[in-house]
Amino acid sequence: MLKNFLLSQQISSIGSRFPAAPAQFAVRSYAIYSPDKYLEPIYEKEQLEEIFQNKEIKERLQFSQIKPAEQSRSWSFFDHPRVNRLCNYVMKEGNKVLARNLVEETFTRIKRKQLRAYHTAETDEERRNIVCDPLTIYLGAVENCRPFLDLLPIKRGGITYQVPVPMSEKHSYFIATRWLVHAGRDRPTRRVHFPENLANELIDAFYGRGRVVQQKNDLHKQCEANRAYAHYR
Amino acid sequence: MFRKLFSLSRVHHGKCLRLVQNISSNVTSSRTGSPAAVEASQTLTVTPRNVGAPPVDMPYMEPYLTAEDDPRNHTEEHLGLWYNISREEFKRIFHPFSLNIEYNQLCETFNETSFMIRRPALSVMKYLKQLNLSSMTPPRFMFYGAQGTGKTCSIAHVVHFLSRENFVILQVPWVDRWLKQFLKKPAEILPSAKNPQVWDHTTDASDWLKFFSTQNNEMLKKLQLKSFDQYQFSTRENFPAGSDITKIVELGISRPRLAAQVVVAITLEMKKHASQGNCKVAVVLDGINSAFTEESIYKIDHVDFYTKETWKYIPAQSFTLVQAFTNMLEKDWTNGVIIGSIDYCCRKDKDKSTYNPRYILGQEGWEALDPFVPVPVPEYSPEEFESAFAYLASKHWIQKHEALTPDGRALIAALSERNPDYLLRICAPL
Repeated sequence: MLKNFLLSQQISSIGSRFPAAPAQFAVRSYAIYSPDKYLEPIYEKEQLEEIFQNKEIKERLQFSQIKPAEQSRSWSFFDHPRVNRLCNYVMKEGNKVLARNLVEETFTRIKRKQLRAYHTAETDEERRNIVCDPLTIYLGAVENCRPFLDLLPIKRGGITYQVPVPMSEKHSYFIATRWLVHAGRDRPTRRVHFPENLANELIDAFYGRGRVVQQKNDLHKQCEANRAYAHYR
Repeated sequence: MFRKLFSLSRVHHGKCLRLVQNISSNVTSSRTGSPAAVEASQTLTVTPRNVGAPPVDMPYMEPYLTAEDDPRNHTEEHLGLWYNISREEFKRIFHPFSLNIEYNQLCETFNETSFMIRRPALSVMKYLKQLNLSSMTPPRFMFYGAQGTGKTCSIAHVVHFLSRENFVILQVPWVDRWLKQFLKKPAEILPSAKNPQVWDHTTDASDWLKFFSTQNNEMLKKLQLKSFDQYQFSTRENFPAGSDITKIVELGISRPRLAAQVVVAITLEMKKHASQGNCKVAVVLDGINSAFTEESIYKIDHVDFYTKETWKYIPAQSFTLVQAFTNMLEKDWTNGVIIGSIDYCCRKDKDKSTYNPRYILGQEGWEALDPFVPVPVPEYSPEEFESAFAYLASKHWIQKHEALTPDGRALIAALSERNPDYLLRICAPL
């Protein structure tokens, strides 16, 4: 059956999935769907069922144009939008297969380490405190690493000041995930593989320790020190 | 290879929705048909939560377990159930390479070792109980099947049975390890003292002897076997006829240079002891087909007349250890049994076109093994899949609530093709 999936993918990549692309290289093929004309596709199965039950929304959506669904997304429990983001940040040179495998390996290692601790723990209290779900650990780690302020270089009177500015929520998520991925890439030795290192970093960050949390605190401290320049913004 | 396939394929989950729904309806219909294994499990399940209460929101399923941990008592009633091996016994009977790396890691994570009772191992055990081994040349049972279906685990189950049945076991965890090392640096080999065309392993041979002595520790103490022949391994190390077998083994462990010759002596002695009726001997070879190949990573100087190549690979039959164990396959002894697996994983070209024994063994291997009883190891049946999935879920290996629903299970069954190895790989990141 897996072979059939592969075959179907090959066939679909040969056939034209999108309308004729404007450029010679279809690099921005998804961008041709302008946001004012096309609606975002819905991936959640429950949300879709709700829409089908509601007549008003159904009639409104019936004749509006919707973007084609992304290939890397699905409704199944294998898919999570934030994990998909992590894959994209890990990805190099568009090699999504490798990136996804690395993220999967990371999650496996997190789970293995936590479950090992869980099954060797002696009391129920110890067990209750161990979080084994890799997704929870990843989301919690990002939450702990999110900075709220950033330093922006602004030139006033020929001098560049590092001015503290508030960071948008979306950007803070991006920065936190990128820091974690970079920390994962900075391995102590070549023997330690990227997934192993990233797993350790994520677990550390989830429990509020480790160098990425330290990095966030350092940035906040720097912003605090440069408080006097805040009015240059 | 599979990981690549899987990650490519999973972007198509949406597309396979309809297919999955069809399969899920099939699975549910077959489950309501009251399969024998699941029915039996309801009477045989023991208290499953041996690690205490999990956090409230952790996904959990009741596993199908059996309290019967003696493989001699396993019958068809236990099909599809899981039994547990104690940690001490596991360490005594099995080599670190007896099971594959992923299964070993899983055992380490769960802090216990369990096997599912499946039909291939059970049928071999049934035959062994019925046969009168002392009056026949050793029968050969060969497990074969696709990759990841559980050939090695079946062998492990049978080895557990053999050790309880007081066999002296000569087990090679993975024959291919002597020919192609998975480490960066290949193990040391030396030309044999008797015949420089043949090569002796040093550390590998003494490792095997160490494994042999730990695995059969109790039996060797009980039997106090003496050697039939005189062995002169070097000018100083001389063992006259009637010396202790354990002493010869100890020499091999302490002197790696002589270890390969000691392995030859041990195999020959075991053959004679079995034929005399002193003990029952089991020869267990996982990946037996690699003993008949021309493939190894070791090279020697050799000038080919036609291709002008200045080197060639050493064929498997030019190693003393491989020769010692292929000698055990001959039909000149009784009171023994030969168990093996035929696996295309150890082929150098990794040709996955078929897993038929005749194709993988080749002419030479086929003639050496003929006649043998082929034991196919198939993928999980729907009931076995249910049992395997419940075991993983009971150990919290699956951390998604959605995966435990009937739809989720059907999706995983479809993606894994009910292959045990694929099931583990798919559930790993969940």
